[in-house]
Amino acid sequence: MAFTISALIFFASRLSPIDPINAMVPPDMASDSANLEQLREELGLNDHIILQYLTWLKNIATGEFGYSLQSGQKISEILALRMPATLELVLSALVLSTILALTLGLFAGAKKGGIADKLSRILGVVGIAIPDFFIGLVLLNLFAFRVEWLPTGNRVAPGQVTFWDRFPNLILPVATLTIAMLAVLIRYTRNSVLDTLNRDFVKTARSKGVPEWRVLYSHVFRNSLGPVMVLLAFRLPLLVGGSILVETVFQWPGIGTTIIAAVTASDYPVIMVVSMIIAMVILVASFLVDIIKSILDPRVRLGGGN
Amino acid sequence: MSRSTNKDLILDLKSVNVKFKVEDGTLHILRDVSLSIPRGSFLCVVGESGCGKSVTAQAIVQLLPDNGEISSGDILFSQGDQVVELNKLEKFGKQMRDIRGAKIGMIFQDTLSSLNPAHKVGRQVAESLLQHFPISKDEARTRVVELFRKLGIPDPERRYEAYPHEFSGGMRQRVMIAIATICEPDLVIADEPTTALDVTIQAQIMTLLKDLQKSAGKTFILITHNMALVSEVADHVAVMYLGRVVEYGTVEQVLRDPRHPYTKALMASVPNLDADKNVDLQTVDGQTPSPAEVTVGCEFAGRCPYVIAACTEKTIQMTQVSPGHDVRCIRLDSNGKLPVLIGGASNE
Repeated sequence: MAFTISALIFFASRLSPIDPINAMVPPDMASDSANLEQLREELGLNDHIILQYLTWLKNIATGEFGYSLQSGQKISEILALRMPATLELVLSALVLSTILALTLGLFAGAKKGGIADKLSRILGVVGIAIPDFFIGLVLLNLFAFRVEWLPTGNRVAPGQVTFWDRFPNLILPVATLTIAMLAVLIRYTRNSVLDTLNRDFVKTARSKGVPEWRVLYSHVFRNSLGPVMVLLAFRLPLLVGGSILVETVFQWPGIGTTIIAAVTASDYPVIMVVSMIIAMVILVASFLVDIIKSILDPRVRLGGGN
Repeated sequence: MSRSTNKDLILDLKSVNVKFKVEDGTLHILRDVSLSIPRGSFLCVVGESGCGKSVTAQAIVQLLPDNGEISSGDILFSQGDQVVELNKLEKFGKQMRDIRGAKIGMIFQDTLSSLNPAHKVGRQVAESLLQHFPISKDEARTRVVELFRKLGIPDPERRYEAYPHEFSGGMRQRVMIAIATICEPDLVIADEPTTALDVTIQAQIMTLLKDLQKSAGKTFILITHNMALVSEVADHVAVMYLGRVVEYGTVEQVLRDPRHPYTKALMASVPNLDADKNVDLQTVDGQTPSPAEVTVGCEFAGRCPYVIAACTEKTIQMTQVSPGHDVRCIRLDSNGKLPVLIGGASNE
């Protein structure tokens, strides 16, 4: 699987009509064709394409990500610089939206038409109907320009200041991403809870005289988590990929903005490495889904139990 | 057949009406259902699908679906020398919950969906025990294992740790019975407990229930559409048709000597080994009307060969044909017999 993906990423990038050399060398130097040819030879671009692929694969596997065409920086250095920013943003939003969605979704499903249900419906419609970058712009306009309570984003690099100094910069981007992530998750949880409530074992639990909160917590909630966890696991790639639009709106120096810059500059090595990493995380995520499912539902456990 | 509260009655339903709200109005699912259930008896409630048997069971323990409610009537449950009006209790309130599981046990039909797939079966049985008694988890476990053994679940210590999907249908039903009886309730309501099982397992489960009733002196209400089962285990039978009890009496009275035209038709449709193989099995003519149709008088009138104009003019009352045998039909003569039909069925 991983090999198929790597091959796809590599050959797709070679299909592009843009010559990597042209992207790398400034136009005023491009006339010197002898120099260009020498560079081509040095970079291995004249080798057979299969050999090039194998070399690239070997480098990736050993952590040799190569250099950015644009800046000449080591890609691993770029990633080390950008990754924490994305992790900080996406992880906060992921944790926050999961906690909120599960609680709200559970109460919304348990009491149809109640306050939690109405609130989750509003959040759901807002989050699904309005694109995340627009939510970001609205929040920026309201809180950063109109009332000037919060900074516009623009991450402050750690090290120089304490976490609490950097915290205000984090609020708006995290809030935007949280709302965007919340919407679908809340609907999922609510519907899953409603489905589970209609199942026969809930009636059995009630027939034992178990109080409603216990019925919800011990019988309904766990059996509702399956589909929610799947959705959640497939959001994990965002941790390394970042959210391109939200990062752009808040000028967040994460992987998302790195991707944008790399794409506009045809910086192939960077695009390829980031794609490859995202693909690997997706693979890990789908593996995680299987593990989580087997924890939640004993019926899918390997070997059929004891 | 409304009687005054009697200490020998464990459960007394008095003119219970249940209505369901649906998109286009309300459905009147139970109509004036009155049932008096003596302590220690084994009552079978029979009738075709949709006659309100299961709803009756759900109404007793207040576990009707969200859109259903008891609109009038009384459900009296006697606990020692106290009589509790179950229908007056809060649905999920403490008093009702203290009765559910502890005083009234429930057994459901589809055992695979009625057990929580994510919990070990032992824990699901122990949950009931821990809910109602101040005992430790270890004690609960010992008692569950003991009950498993008594109910014929092999290797109970190991099976305690198993999940529902690892059990066969018959074994799962034993687990359900364990859930319903672990707290030694006075009354057990079994809603079609053997419908999903094959015939030999059915017999085992019924023997088990009958033994429980005899040895522990429990009262059983068995809801079924299987007439053969009724004659084996029941001592009282209530026949329901479209939300009403149409005939009530002892097994001998109802099965040997059915008086209501519907019970007669139902009995005629039961396959019999001694019957002439060349004669087709009798069926009840016509379709069960929808509960949405508002009818006056007898609900069975449209399919009844004995029907006369008076049948559909006003509500038909229960009349006693012999002590303890009540029938809801106005075509019975003073001896409680239906008129002899001339020239077969006559549909006027």
